[in-house]
Amino acid sequence: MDGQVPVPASSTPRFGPASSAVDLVAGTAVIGAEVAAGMAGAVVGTVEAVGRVLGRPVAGLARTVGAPVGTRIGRAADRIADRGRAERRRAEADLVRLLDALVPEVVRAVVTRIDLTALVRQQVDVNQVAAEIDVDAIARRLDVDAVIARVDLIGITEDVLDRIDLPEIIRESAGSITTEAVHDVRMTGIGADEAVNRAIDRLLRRRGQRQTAGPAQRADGFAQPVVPDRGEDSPR
Amino acid sequence: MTARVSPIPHAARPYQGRRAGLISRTLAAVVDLVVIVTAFWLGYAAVSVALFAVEPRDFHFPDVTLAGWIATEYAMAVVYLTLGWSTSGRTVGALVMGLRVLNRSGGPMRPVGALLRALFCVTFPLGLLWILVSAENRSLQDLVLRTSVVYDWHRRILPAAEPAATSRGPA
Repeated sequence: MDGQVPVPASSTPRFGPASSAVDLVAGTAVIGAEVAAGMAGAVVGTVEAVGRVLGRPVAGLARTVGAPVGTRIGRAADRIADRGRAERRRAEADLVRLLDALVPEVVRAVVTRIDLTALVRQQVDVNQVAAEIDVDAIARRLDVDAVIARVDLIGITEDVLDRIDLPEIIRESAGSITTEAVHDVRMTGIGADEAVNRAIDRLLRRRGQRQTAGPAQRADGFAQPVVPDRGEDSPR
Repeated sequence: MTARVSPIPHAARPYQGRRAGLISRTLAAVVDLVVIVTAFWLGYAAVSVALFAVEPRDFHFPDVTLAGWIATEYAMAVVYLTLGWSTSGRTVGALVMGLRVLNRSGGPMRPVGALLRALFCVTFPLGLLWILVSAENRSLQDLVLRTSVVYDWHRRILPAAEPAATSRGPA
């Protein structure tokens, strides 16, 4: 564990208290604007009522003077509300940036100071968690064919057969005495050849190995020694 | 894609394809000599039986002079070796000892080459001793005709290697 805590790149958390405070300011502005607009409306209504009493000329005068005043107050309230909304969004964005930078560092610092594995062992019943895992469901979802396709079955089979020396097992179980005898004679011949070669080479004070690699026609994995003789490559 | 498992015992694998030494080849030659001599006398017996069957009263064993015997054995040996080397690359003796005669490209010899080698070997068998001097386990016949006698325990000559085939070094 390296203490890294993944943090979403575009997290947009909702922060209750902060947004409430900002919204409170903006809301106050909006409410103030609305109150102002309501008051302007009431003024207009009162003027209109007075106008109705005082007669059409006066009412007309009131409408001419009161309506523009109410409209201007309403527009001012809208501007204040917009300002409040913009301020709130900017504050939210600043806070998100701050948390994006701060939280990973804090979590990393915390994680490096505690033994998380020990904590999990202490607090979590791993066996119970494991017992509740539906392994069968996982196995059903597993694409076994894809797994097998990635495995070199032929290579593994060859390797296994090579390591257990299957030909020798077959020979021991089903081979005839003649086959055994022939193999023994051949191996004895090879051993005698090697012994004679060594003796002659010593007699002739010949240095280095004999170049006994035959024609390289059979590089098919069966007849192995088609490589040039070089020290350790040569059979002893 | 086919798995290939070598039928050769582990101990013998490092030697497959390498030129054989004097002892193995001498033993193979001895076996071949026994085969040829046995074949001669079996032939002699067959001829005798045939003569007896034709004229039982006047039957007598055919005369065999030393020169005639040697000449017949010589001819039989040449034919026998030529046939063996130009077909499977091995004679009975080579089969017993797990040897095979190959031309320089790794295949069995052509009939003419096999005939020349057979004549050379039967005429001058001591050429085999050159193996001791040669640093490449070659007899005099091998040097002249550019052939190799290798350890090869496989039943038949293996097909030519494919371009992508891999070769394993000796263990």
